[in-house]
Amino acid sequence: MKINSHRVMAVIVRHMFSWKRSLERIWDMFWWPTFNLFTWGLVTVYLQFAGTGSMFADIFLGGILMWMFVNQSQEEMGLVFLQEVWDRNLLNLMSSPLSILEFTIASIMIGIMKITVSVLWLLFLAYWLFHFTIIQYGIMLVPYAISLLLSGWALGFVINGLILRYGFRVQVFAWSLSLLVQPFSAVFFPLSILPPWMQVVARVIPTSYIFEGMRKVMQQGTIDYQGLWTAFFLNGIYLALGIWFFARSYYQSRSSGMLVKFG
Amino acid sequence: MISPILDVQTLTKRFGNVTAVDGISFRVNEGEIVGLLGPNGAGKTTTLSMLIDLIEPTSGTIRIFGLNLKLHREEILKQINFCSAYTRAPWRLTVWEHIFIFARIYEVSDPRRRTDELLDVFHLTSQKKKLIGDLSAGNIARLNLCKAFINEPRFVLMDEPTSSLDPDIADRVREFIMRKTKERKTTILITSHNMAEIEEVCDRVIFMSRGKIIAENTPEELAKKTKKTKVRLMMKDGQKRTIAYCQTHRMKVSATERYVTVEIDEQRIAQFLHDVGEIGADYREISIDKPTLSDYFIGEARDED
Repeated sequence: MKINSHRVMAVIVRHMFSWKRSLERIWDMFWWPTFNLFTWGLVTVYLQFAGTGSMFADIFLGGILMWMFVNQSQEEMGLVFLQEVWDRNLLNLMSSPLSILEFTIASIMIGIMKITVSVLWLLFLAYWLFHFTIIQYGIMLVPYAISLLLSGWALGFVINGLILRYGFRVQVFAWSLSLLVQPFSAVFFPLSILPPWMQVVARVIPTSYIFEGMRKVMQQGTIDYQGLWTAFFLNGIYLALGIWFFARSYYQSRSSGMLVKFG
Repeated sequence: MISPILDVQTLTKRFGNVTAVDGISFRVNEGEIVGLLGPNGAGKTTTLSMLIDLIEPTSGTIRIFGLNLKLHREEILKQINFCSAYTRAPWRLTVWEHIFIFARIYEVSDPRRRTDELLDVFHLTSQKKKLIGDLSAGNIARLNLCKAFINEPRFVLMDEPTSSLDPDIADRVREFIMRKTKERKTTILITSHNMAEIEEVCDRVIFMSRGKIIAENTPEELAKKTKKTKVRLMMKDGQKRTIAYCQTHRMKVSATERYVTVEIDEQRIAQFLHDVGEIGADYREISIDKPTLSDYFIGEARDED
């Protein structure tokens, strides 16, 4: 299938035009990450005073920063789609030469742009408020961040597939699905803290390997290659399943007439 | 033989047990304006949706510009466009931004110039910096039309395009549609509940009912299928006798104060007027309303009930 960069770009520009007048999207980009960082940052400062050591604070703040890759990449994929549905613009787009693949690529690119802005903002804030800099861990965290993006996109495909099948009834997942995965991901604490049954579930969740790996990088300065590859392997499977589910749901929504009902 | 712009063969769409479109076949030639009519639930919107690949047909083929829609989606959709009274546009975008985005999606050369040009055609230049959320329903309908012509389409599908426009703007839109078909041989398939509009702009009408095509002809010929003509007499004398005469001869008659209205076959009008004179009734004025497409539509819709 051919991908036309002009059309992908047009969808991105459409959302850029919309963003500048959209308080909730700006809120999403700056306020919630700031709020999280500030709240949990203060908790870590308090715990540091209580004698838990500075590494604890770093791990906590690193967890907040890294979780944003999953949360925002997943959320943005759902929101770009829902925005067109809320604006009743989906039929205009889908009756044009724009393909669903081009639309999805545009959603992913918009997500990357949003994450980049949010992460840069948080890096600045974390350094300014808590003298925390993730950059000291250098390039070692980059593959983990990429793997987290893949996890977010896999969830995003599932959410968009669910919306195509069941309509507005399931739009709440656009904000909440990643939160279902978070407890099993051991974002802020070691995997061993989880109850045994949760540890079993966590074994098939790629984000658990990523956050374990992140802590290893921060504490020991080494990459757990086996964990990293396992995360990439699992992400590959989930991403393929997510794309398959989304493609099937899109076909089904065209077949059942659901797509037209979105207006 | 002219190859058609649109060639639909045995197109069927079933939603579970419900057959929305039942094996319809029709063609639309280049430069034609064709109306797709029918009562609610006839299958018009489902048919239009299949023609722009928004609904997957259960069976049948759609060929546009001689190409199979299933296999050449991108190539076809680049050259056609669609507008509907039921779609909206992103309310946070300005009028100019919305049209500009679609100019880019359709890869129009010099999208800025084309956007300005088209906004001018649809008298939206003064609104170009306005947010779509602040536009009136009429301006939104004009915006939809503007989008529908952004790529100089060869074929446009319109779902009730003038439904929320005031008579003046609706008239301009009809003028624009007819001019486009003449100038650029743009082909148009249009659905509307405004029968006068369909009679004015369409070369041909396809009438659908319960998912099937039940008639296909020029608006004038379809109207002629309704044989009854309305004869309205302003009575001077003998109103009761005239009503009694009509009832005896099983004619559909209605009366209000000094008027008697009779529905009658066109060929029988002369005989009727002669007989009215014979029974000693007298009338001051007479008006004869020939059947219109609207009469045909109402007749068919009531038959369906």
